[in-house]
Amino acid sequence: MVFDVLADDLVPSDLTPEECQELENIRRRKQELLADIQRLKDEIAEVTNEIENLGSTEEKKNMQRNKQVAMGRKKFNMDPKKGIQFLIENDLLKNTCEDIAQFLYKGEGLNKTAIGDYLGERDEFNIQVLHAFVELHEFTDLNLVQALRQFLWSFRLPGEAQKIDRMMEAFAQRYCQCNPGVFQSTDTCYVLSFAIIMLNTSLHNPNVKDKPTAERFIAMNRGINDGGDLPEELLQNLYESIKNEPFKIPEDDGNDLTHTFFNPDREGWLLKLGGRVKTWKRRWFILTDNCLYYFEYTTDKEPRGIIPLENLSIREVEDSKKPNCFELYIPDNKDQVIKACKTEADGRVVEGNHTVYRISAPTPEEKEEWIKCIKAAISRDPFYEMLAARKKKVSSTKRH
Amino acid sequence: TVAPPWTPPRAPLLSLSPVPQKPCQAGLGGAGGCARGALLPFPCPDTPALLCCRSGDQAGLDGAGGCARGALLPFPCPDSPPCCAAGVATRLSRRRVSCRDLGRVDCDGWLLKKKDHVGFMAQKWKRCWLVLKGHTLYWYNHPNDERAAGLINVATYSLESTREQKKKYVFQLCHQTYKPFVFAAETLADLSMWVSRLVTAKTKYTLAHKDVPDKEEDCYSETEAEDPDDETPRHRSDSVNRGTLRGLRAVPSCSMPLSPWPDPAGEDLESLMLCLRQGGVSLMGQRRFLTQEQCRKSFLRRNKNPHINERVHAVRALQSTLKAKLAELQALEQLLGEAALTSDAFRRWKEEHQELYQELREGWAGQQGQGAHGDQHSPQEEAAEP
Repeated sequence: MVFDVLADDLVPSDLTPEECQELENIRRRKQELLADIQRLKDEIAEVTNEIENLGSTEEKKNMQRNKQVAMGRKKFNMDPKKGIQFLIENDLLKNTCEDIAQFLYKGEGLNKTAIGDYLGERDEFNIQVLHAFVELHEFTDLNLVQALRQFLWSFRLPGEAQKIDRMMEAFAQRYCQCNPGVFQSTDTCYVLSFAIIMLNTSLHNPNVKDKPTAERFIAMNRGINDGGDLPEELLQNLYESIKNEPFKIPEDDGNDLTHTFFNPDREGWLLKLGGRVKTWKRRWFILTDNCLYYFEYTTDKEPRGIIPLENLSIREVEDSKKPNCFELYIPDNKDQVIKACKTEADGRVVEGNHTVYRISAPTPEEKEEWIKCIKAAISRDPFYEMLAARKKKVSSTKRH
Repeated sequence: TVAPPWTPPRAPLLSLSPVPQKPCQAGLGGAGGCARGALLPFPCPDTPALLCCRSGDQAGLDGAGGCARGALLPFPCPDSPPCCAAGVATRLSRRRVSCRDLGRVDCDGWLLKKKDHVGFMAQKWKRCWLVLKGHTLYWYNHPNDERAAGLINVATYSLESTREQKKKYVFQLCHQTYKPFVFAAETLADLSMWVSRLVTAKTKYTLAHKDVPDKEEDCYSETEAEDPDDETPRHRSDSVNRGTLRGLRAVPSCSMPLSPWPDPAGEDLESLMLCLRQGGVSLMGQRRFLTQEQCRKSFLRRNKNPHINERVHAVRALQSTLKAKLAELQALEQLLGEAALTSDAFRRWKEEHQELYQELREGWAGQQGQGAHGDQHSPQEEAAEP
């Protein structure tokens, strides 16, 4: 019997000498890790700081206060929440919805993408700021397109469906408040606003080949006025206005830092089963931007593989070899082999076969988390359903 | 030019089968400058994997076969010597052409294509983007796809009318041996246009050739489904901005989610939504990342400023590595935290953390190999896992 001499009490332990040695090595390894971790944190802080200071042109000889305002704006543009926090802490901004809304509405030196991100957040406080922000817009006697032009120029509408929903809901309420009687309900205004935005994209985006006519647009909006139709003349005017002049949208010029940093939904080691050759390989997975990327090493600059999540489904599975498994697959083609292709070194194109992506997580908890995050990423564009649900609600209140 | 109106025939079938015609007349112009009037697609230097015949001294051969300029040619011309570029191109490669690569085409537009196999309660028709170039008819799930979902050598098929339940303006391409392809147009005008263009294409071909190929790969080609790639063997790469296209990657596109075909009679906002989906754009018109290549570019290029971009990637690598080390630490603490560790428990831990344990052992073996100079510090920034 070996005594575990490293424990506080001399507890009889059944570990072999080899195992004791391993344990010792593991303790040493832990110390190394702690050192590595600290070093990594320091380095991250250093590089982040470096990036923050890149591209700063002005503020050389400004007064302290201006310098702080400029710093606050820069921080906001990289991370709105932190920027606001900084400004409040330095007494440059009051911690009230109205004050912050004013700051955003004025928007001086602020990136409109960052403004949109902030206004779209789910937090109760952010929602209040959103409402205060919308109140600052004056829509009285403007037609819906004019109001939308003004609204959509004041910030850049984010991509996430829930955020869009909140912001357009706030818009619709404000518009109806300013122009009572134009629409039977706020929902009508909401749905029509969406229709107009989609119309704008359809008519003016070169990638969209199917461009609706005025007649089709009018037909598409039948029944949205709480079951009734909006006057054709109104819809015709709105159509013409968009057709003649597209919305002016704040540009994302690719130079600002607002969406530059990686902010993955989730990342970690997972085991992945190969397609043709059925071996399990350990890969570092990163879930971001609606896509699953995987790497051989965490330090690889380029992903080894990419799994766009559009149109995929996910399900839990049992595997004989590995625990905590789930699969990514195309739902329509259960029995068909999904043909993929790969380019061989000499440029030949060869068909490959990949039915599903089977993945094993280290623990059941991690499996659950991954599934949850991937599901959220897959359904990141539920506004088809959201719009359909709203529209159904509007049409079902028939008033014949 | 307005196409002649299509009059539905009284007889059940109106057939335009390929029949031998007298040799073509010199002087017919084509888009590619071929003396015999066939249409040559534009040369595409970026696509080495496509079937490409380089019969250098065969200037003047029509487009389906030998091409002096090494242009894209989906179907070999029966007259030309089959001298292909090095490398075997499978029939799949002929579909690996995007609309953009096709350049000038004879005709394109949306049509409904009848599906071969339809599940219970599933849609019978699929909306596709059709492109006619020369005597090849390509179809895509949407115009921005990197490659076509299928193609037909219309010279080998007969153009016929047909009847379909719930579809008024239909035509089909039939073959003696292989399956037919049925298409439906939205309007009479569309149907007229397509029929007229197909007739023209077929006529041009038959005037220029004596016979019509028969092998399946010369008649049509299609894929069953599109999906992300299998793992491709590649080297480790350290560079961030590799530029845009690195030659054609194998990039199958994702198919659009199938939604019911908007019925013109009861059209509503869902169809407006579909317009955007099919354009591959979001509500506000941003490109959506549907293909691997788009996802790859979006990952690599975070900022226009290359210096910032490089630093951002550096931060990403550091943060991922940090997360990996924290996870490893957690695993070790799970073991070390045990007050009275038993052999059994240790074994279980090793089982649960197989990969980590394996690496630790390799690390220790390496250290032992270094003898007394066992390096206590693990390499900076390198992931613990080889």
